[in-house]
Amino acid sequence: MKKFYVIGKRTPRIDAMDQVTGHARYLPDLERPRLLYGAIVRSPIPHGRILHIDTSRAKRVTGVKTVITSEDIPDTRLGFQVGLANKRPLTSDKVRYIGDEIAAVAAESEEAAREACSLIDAELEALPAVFDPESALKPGAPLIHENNPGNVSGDVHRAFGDVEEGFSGSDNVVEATYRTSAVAHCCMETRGALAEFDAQGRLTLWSTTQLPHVLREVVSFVLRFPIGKIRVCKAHIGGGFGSRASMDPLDCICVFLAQKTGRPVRLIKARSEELVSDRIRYPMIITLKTGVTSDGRLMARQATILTDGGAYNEQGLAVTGRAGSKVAHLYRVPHAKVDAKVVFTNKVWGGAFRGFGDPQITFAIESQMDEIAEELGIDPLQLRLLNANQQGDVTVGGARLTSCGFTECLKRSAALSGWKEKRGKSKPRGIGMAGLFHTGAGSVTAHGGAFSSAFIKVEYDGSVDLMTGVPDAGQGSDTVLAQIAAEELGVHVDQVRVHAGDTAITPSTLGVRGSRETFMAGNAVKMAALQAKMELIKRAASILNVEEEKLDSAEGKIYVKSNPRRFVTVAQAAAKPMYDYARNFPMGVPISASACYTDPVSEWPDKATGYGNISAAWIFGAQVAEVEVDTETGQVTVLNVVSAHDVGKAINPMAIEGQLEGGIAQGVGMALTESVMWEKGNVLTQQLADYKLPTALDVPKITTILVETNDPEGPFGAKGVGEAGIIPTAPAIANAIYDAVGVRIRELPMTPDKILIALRKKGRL
Amino acid sequence: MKKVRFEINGEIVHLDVETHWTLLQVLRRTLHLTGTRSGCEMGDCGACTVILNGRACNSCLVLAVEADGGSIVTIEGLARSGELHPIQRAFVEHGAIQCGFCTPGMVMAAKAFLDKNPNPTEDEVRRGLAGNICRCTGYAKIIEALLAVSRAMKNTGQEGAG
Amino acid sequence: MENREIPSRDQLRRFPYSFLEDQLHWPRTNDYEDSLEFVMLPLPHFDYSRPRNVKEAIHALSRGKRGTRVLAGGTDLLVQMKKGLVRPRLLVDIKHIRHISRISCKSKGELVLGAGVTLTDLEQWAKKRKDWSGLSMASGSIGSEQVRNRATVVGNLCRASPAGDMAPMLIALDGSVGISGPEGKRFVLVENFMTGPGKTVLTQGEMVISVRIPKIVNSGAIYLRHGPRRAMDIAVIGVAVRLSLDETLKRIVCARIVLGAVAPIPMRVPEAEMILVESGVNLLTLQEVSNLAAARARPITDLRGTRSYRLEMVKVMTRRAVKQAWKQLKKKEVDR
Repeated sequence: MKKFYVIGKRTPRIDAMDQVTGHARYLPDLERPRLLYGAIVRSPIPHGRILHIDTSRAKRVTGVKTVITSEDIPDTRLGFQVGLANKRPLTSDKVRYIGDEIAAVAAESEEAAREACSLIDAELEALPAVFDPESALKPGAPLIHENNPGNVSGDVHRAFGDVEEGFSGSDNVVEATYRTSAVAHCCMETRGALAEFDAQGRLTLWSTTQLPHVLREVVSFVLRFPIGKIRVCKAHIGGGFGSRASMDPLDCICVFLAQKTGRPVRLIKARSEELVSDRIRYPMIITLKTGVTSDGRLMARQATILTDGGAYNEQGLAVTGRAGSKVAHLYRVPHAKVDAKVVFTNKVWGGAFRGFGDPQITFAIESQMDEIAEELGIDPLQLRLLNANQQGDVTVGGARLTSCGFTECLKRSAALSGWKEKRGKSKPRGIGMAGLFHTGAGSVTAHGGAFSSAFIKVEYDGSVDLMTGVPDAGQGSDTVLAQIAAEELGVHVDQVRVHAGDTAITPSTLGVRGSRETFMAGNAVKMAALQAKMELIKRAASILNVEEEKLDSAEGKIYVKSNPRRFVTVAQAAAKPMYDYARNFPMGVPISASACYTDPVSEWPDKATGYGNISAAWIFGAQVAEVEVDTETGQVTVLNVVSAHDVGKAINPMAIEGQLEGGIAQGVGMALTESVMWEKGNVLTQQLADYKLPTALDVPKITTILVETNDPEGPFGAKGVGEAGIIPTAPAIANAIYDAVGVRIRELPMTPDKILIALRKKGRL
Repeated sequence: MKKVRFEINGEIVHLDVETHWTLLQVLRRTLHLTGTRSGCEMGDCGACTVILNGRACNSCLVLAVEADGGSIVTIEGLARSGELHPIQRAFVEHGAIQCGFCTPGMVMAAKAFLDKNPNPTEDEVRRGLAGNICRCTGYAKIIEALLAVSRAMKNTGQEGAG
Repeated sequence: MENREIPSRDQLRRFPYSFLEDQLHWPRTNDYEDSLEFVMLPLPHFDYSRPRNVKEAIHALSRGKRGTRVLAGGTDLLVQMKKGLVRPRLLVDIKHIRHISRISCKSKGELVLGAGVTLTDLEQWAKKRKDWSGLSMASGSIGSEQVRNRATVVGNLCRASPAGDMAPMLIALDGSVGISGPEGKRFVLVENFMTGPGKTVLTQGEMVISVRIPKIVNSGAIYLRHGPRRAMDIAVIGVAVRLSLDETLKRIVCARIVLGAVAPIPMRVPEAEMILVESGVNLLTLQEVSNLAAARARPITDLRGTRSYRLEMVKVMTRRAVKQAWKQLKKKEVDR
């Protein structure tokens, strides 16, 4: 077993010093000479025709440099899925939700910009609006997009095996409908951008984006501007969770303002603006039907999903498709069918959010697993163990499980949480469990996502520069990639400098989404590091006068394997001249390496059926939540959560725990208190006081268990884990509530009133 | 414009401020101490927490003129000649930082809290930090870090350095 | 006549949903506003003064007429200003008035809190004194450490939010406010201080300079509030209960049940109080009292909770508060 020097160590973030002293610079901290401030004017009505926008009063405000509307920009649309994009950065024909961008201002001060916004007179002809997908589908409902009859953005149909056969072969069939709500990312830093054109007309765009390389493409497309003249880069980023892996007009609007004024423009959303207009998790209504044999084997599973797509296209179809795929993947099931629709409504549009549809579908699947267990009289843990995916499986949807620790996760989380002792025995306390199945290496279908690249440069003093396209939005990629580079090269982690997410310097990759970068970028970094290491060894071999095969490197030294006391430092090897003539000063040809990793495992899904192994690795986990329900108030206190996760290999256990704990906290919020609330299209939750994020008093004690299954393709065996924490939390809590007080809540969030009403219906009040 | 005078991180500063400027604005825009962050402008998130006259407060809800004559400590004032404060060090070592945006406010709230209550229970720590929202960490390692600091302070019998 | 500046129609349009309890009492003729604006700086321009004594403060408040506001903690006022709901022309910062932040126990045992006493000040002070623990519960339930370090007891009262947490407890303790104005001083029972959401009896130029609470003997006081999270929220409902025994320590001689967030102003439930005085605390009276409280409460449905849920919570929380207050009393008896 190879000894690791860096991998597996609890390594503090390499930028922690900057963050903890306040020196880290985020977008609001960036200053540029002659900076202007941007602000966006948004529609106050949910649906209407734009008749006229009068910007004359706004233009007269002192300090205002430009006011733009859709007439000042090219007729292009932006979105992550370019072919489906139907949102212009500034809307021209109709407004389709309260918050729809209709004009923008750049001024010498934020005050002037906001004042100008208030003076823009938009003449809008109000149209009837529709706010929920079921109503939007009804005949006669207001039509939101002319090209989408019935307000259908798209649909997804998948069928694997034959569910009818499956159901007829089942002894029991359980069916129910589950609803999830709109949840907001609420990153602590609101979305923002700073755009600046230089004298040669080249654009530099600092953005909070999670996908610098993709954003560059989108900006190029929307602006009709050569991609070579665009540089997307970043400051420190205050969170993402998928909101910034989705497109928003803000970046393009900021660029337009900079273009029109010829000055740098910074545009940042106010918190209330973010809560009104930024992406949300797609709410879904899921009708799920499962057939089982009397001894607990899953026979067939069928889902109908109705996704609330909001006003415009972003990633609704992709998220819905991904959610639908779990019907065929999560647990061994021989027959599966999904029929799903994404429907427009006059509300803010959704986007990617940690889990990408899996939290929604897992809420349905895992709640139903417990309902099945109840009907069959089997312990829910046993039911899951019986049907758990195993290594080597190919699911009925085509996912190939090259590494799978599901069973171990189930067993260990149950054991540590006291499952046997507590289940059914401690009312009004209860214990519940849920599992997860998710991509651990991104997916091939996301923007051609099955590749990543890295550059490495070894300095004369033995330190290393690592260039990666992945921005660290808090998930810790800088540190993990530095660890991988350090381990492979044989240097200390603090010798590695990471330069990330700058399209002028870093090679292309998709970016932070899909739990992909530990795997994808990690492998790219490993490949590049190996190349650089080979070069170092070549030079060390000539200094030490031994064959290259006899050498290895670790902790800054390149040493003879059989006699480690004979070594040269990496610095010495890096500085060695290529040519063997005496030089008195340490000048050498710098060592650099470049690598592009394309994973050999994933495959593009079949166009008709959707069958295929879209990710190079899959992750699993199991969470057990213990709750106490106050039967008089309906309030649920989560006492603790035990969560076991198959991570392949824990490159940085401390960082992984942090990601899981954060995900679980978000899961608790999603399960119990978080919901964007609307009334006639007005967002009611415009303040963090009203959008109920868990505080330190609301998050329970969390215990994480890291299960290592050593994926054959992952770097050092590692798989991605960024999204895993949030996926099973809501159903684990729902199942715990059922164990505690015998009520099944199928609608998120599980607020006290819902629980009280359910208790009353059961005659428990 | 009004003339104000504060002590910031041990240094006396004299400034001209507009009455309608908040302390947060003055810290960030006039003094360029950008470590203190704006998260919501409404006192709901704690990202702008500084210590004013010994007490943690949301600087977005304090007018600069109100703070005239007062003593303010921001995140930039915590480390002493390059040496991290024990709370800062614990945050780094325990992995209590992810995106880092809430970190300065969290650290200042934590310092004010531990100064008042050097030997807290976990529940007391949670209550003390309830005004600081973190979306990344789930608070788990933040609380771990603070409990570690208070244990260490107890063992060495020293007060928080500074 | 009111000291508080009522937002104009125009101002109200600028921000559709601010404090729901205010909003639902202002008439709105259409569902959508003329433009969407978001909270961002700056605050509106205003003058700032820092009186050194009450006389100077009164002078500034009466001179300024409409558009002059007292600035104490600012945690509420600044939020309202940022939302454009309030546009004062002069802020009178009372925090530097001599002795304004004093907490003093007078010779007769009366507690006097100056208008500058913060929630943290009160919480810390009352926590150490068993007789005043109800005040600690109420003040400690509000916001966060950061908010409590600035927000004042009197400020919370003067805000007159139907969901305010200090008023119910102060009413339960028979508190009164000391008001100073151009016409002189007057005292008003806290129970009579609020007249409607955001409205008090203060007239132009007046300010509250203290809160007085008579001596508490043989009493238990509990404040319970219900909200979705364990911190930071505005109360969905609040209940303050105070029970006082006679010298024999056997009979309840005074009972106060005060509900918050279920009516435009905090409300007592006198019939329920009578039941406790007449028949003491037992399973039967607990049920009667909580049912009565729910019958009298008039909550609305808003962002924070539905009417029916709030009524249910009134029942539950009243029963719990009375029970806990009784327990507190019994414990004191045992401790004696």
